[in-house]
Amino acid sequence: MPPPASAPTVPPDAPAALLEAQGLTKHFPLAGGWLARDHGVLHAVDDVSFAILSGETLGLVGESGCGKSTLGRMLLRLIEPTGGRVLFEGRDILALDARGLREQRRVMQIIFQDPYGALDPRLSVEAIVREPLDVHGVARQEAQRRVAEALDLVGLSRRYLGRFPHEFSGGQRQRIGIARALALRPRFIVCDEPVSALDVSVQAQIVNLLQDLQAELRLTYLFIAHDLAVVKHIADRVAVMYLGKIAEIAAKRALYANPLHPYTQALIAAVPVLRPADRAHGRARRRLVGGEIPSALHPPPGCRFHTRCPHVMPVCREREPRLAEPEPGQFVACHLYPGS
Amino acid sequence: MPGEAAVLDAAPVRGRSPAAETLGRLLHHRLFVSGLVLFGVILAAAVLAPVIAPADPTRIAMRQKFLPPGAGHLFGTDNLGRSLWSRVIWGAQLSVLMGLAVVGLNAVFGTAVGALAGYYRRLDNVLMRINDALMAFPAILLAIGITAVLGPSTGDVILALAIVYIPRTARIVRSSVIVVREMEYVQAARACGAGDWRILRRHILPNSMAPLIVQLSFLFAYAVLTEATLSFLGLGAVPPTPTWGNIMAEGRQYMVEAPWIIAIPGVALMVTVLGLNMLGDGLRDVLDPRLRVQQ
Amino acid sequence: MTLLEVRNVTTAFATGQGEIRAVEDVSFSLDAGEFLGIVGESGSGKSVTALTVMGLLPRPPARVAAGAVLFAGQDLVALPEARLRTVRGPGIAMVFQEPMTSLNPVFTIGEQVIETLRVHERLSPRAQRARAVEMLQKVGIPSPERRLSDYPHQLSGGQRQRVMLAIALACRPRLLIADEPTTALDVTIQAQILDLLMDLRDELGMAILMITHNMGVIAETADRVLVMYAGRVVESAPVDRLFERPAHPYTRGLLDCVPSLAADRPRLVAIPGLQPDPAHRPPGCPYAPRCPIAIAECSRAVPPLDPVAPGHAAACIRADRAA
Repeated sequence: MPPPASAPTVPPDAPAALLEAQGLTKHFPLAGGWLARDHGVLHAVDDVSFAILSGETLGLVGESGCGKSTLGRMLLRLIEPTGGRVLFEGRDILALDARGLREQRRVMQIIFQDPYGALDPRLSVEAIVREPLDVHGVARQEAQRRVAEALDLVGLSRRYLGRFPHEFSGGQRQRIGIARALALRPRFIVCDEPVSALDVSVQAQIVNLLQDLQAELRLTYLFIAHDLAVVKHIADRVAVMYLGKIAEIAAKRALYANPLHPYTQALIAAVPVLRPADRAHGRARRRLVGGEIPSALHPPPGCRFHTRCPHVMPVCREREPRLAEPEPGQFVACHLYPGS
Repeated sequence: MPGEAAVLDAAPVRGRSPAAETLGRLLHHRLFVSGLVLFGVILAAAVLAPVIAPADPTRIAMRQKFLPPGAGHLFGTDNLGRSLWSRVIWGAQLSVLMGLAVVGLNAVFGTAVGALAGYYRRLDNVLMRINDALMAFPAILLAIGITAVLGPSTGDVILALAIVYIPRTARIVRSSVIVVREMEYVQAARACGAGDWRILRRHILPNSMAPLIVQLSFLFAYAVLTEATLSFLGLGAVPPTPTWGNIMAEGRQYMVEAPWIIAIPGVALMVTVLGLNMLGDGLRDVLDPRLRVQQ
Repeated sequence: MTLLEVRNVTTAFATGQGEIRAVEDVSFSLDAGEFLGIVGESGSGKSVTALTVMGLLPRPPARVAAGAVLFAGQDLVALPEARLRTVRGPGIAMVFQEPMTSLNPVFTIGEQVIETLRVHERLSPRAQRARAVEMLQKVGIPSPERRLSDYPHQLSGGQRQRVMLAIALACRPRLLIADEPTTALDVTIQAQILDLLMDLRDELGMAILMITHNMGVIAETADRVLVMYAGRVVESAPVDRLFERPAHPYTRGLLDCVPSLAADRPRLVAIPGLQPDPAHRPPGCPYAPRCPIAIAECSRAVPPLDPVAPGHAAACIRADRAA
């Protein structure tokens, strides 16, 4: 096995990283426990390293089961990693005790995908948005002020404080969830597919809101999505994951204009284009990659994409490629490029 | 953004809480309301027993034995001339108190076991295997066994029934805790630094209660029925304390000449159990619509 | 040749708060071999339209309050259930969004494909098996003979959707209704299924009615498009025309708010507000409260679906200026 990629995967002249993941790994043992046999290990995330710069949005894309959501939750320790390190401004989050972790969570928050499941149906809007403040012992008057401030930020009237989640539409619920995440005035937010469950017209409202909030509050985002077009719109840099590994990570412009990894190329080719005239062209391009995504229980040896890759070579089946930097600031894990 | 707010503006500012919504729907559910009325009659009789049945249910008047129901004695008298009205009403009080005690004890312990097993995966296996072992005993036999060891008394019957049904309650709570534990709002609470106790108390338990409430209404009915069975067999409260079970046990010998002695407590028992079951079905329809049989 | 004609259909649901019209006065037609896309957001009535055509809505609470669904000349709305069943399968078949729940987990793939055949055609067991293998092959399942004895849980989501297609195609329907067939799938798998649908259409000559919320999917597949909003058809056009010169402000809004790989926009153009609640639709044009070019007259009467160009119609009194 190659050593963990030590490259911080950012351009050399970039400002300091706010958050850095080093060799992050999560294996879920599939066991029935006592009296039951082990059923193997799910390799959700395998030895992933990257950095997020202060004030940027790092997009994280990939198909279902690629580990993007697990990765996002490990950064907040909502899922305990099996191995690796997470550094927030140089401090190792995985080494924090319970109290230290609670303090750390003031600055790191998360927004969820499902606007229905993410809000406790029994609590009023006020109770939902105030919960983080209660947990951190913010005094009552101050908490009330901050709840109102958070609602203002997301564009919800304060008159809804006494309302309950079931009275709101999906887009409005998502605003409540964002207000909850903002209540503690965090600096870093993991956005876990925040617009995937919304209708397109509402999706645009939420994407715009997230962009406005970022500019106003100088937030740093990890934006997880399966929709490449949304990520292209909101991200500064983009990481592409496949079966628990980062396949490619680069500045948005480079990644979309000149994708290096065959999987990135396939993903981009698969996105339907809004120009009916280009149909035939698009079809021809995506013919290149067929097949199904292998199970993360038994990831293919060598390069995990080799079972579907149109450029597969003998070495791909044997040796796992490392992240190399064939273009400045563009990292790719593929044997087609020197250094992998 | 302004447009989105405008759509909501038409609605009142203070919303109806989910609890208020549920109550509203329950009160429109015919089965639930019928059950509530039936059980309400029994409950009222139990609460008002000292007022509506002032005659001592244990006072013997041999000259008035075997009086049929009528003007003097509404439900007639038994073989010892005791007022059946008083005996059945006081029996209702005992049944209701006993049911409440069983349900209360069972809910506390069953919820504790179920919540711990559902929330902490480490405890799950151990607790659930103990549960399985307990569930393997037929409930009524276990209850008979416990009262046989501890001696027949109302308190022992309560304890026995509460213990016997803990595994079922624990399983129900556990399975809904497991579902709620994975909800994203629980993750959100954890992400803002909330501890286990806060998460359990504020998010998981309140959202896991629906199936428990349904289960408890059925358990109430079952407890009343089982208590009647045990005291019918002479394993419950000791005579002359009136319980529906021992009234029926005594009345059994005079079934031909004085059928009301066995019939009236029997009807009371049926009304209670029917009412509680209808209540439970109504609760299930409203609280847990997934369980409703699809037509 | 017109295969399906939906005429002024209104479908209503009885609810606690009275009757709600999920689909209102919808008309369209579909030629043999044509690929028609219906696009709309959740609550627009697109799925109810498809289920009305199939006669699959539970009645009550649903009822077709007005209109007719003419398939090859006969009105499906008036047809008794027993006769309707003979139309489903060889006439119209349907695939759904959820490939995880559309297959019965306790039967093998083979049994489920053969099941549809057995209902509609008298074939020997050997011929049934051969047809099942042929169908699985057509939908791109590798080594179909071996797959016949597999259970649904042994297949991936994309393969299950292929099996659903095989079942739908087993009786060689003249019309296939696909309700969000790729929404639950990953993009690379979605692309495969869409390509497969196009190939099957060309090969078998069947017509396809596809329901989707995804403008990109429409652009990739459809010949003609209906845009639905709040239970009504607001625009109908050939696909090229719709994307080049959308006439209805809602269609333009939808196209503007979809992030695109091709175009670089600093900001998405969001449509303000929400789709109206079906119990409280505004009088007049249902889009007027959110429309950037609405005038007072828009709120007076529901605008009719009027032609703005040959083959292109829009339900907007300001469509002239809009186009």
